[in-house]
Amino acid sequence: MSSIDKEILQRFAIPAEREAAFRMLVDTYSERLYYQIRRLVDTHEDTDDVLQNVLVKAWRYLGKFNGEAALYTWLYRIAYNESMTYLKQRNKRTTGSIEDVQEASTTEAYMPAEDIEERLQQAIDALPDKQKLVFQMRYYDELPYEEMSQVLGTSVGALKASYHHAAKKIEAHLTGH
Amino acid sequence: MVHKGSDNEQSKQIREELEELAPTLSRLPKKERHQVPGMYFTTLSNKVLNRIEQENKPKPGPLQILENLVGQWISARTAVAALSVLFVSIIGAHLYQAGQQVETTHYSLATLEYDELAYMLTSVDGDDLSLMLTDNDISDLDGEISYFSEDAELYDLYMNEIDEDLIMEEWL
Repeated sequence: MSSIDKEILQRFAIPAEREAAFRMLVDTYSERLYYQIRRLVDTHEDTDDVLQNVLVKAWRYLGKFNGEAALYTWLYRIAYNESMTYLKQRNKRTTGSIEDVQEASTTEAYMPAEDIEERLQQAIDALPDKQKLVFQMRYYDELPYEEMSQVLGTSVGALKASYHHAAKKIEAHLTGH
Repeated sequence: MVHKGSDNEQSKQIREELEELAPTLSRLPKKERHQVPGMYFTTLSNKVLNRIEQENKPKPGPLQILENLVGQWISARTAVAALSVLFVSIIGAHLYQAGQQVETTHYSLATLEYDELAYMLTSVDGDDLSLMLTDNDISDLDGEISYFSEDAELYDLYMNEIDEDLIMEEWL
């Protein structure tokens, strides 16, 4: 556990310093959490809702956090669960099926793109949901497989395979092979 | 924002892995495509703490809800007192009405039509009828508008404690 995590936890245990410790947590991790959520839920408004839910849960349960994993891994797991809950609710609200949405985005994803960054985003968007999540956790958040395993509840071996597949698909899309 | 890893070693390991898997991808700069409104992160902790404070406020009890509904111009105690008075008044009025209805029933016998009275005499047991009307009642009725006073035969019929068979013979 990092020294900042230790400080947050120690101060959070003292009622008078609880709020200051929480502010420290928000300042340290909210930006990374924001982008993690945003990659899953798309709009800023929805990301804001989900992130606030994550932080409210962190406030409620931080006192019970046992410190076995890194604090960010714990927060990341809450964010992942909250995002999935949000996506399930959103899919229920939409009239079309999930398959329709996936098909539409896949079709769009393979349209020709001039810009290499745009092509990268299209390739990421075209990945199956779980593979996309694994790729983003590794590529953008640079999480070790062990932490990813704690967040997603998947074995390290399966995560490695998933990441390798994703990276190769994206590479193929970028190079046109 | 792109996280640079908890330590450089971890970052280096991930970069090498990617170079091996996808050389083109590994050479691309990592950029977040999403834009965030300015000042969002600086105001976030206050926003969340305010929300937590709101959620932790105790929920109002029934008395508080009543107080909110009634408004500031009248206190909950006054509202409860007013409701009690209203309740007692309604119950009192109801009981008074019930008393009045007994009286109405009593005198309504005097307004019965001839056929109706004959029907009553045939269908009501003599003992029951004597319980319903006392001698004083009959005297009262006698002085008022009454079929008893108009028809001596009917009066005698009643006074002889009602013989149903006789009524059947005489009136139906």
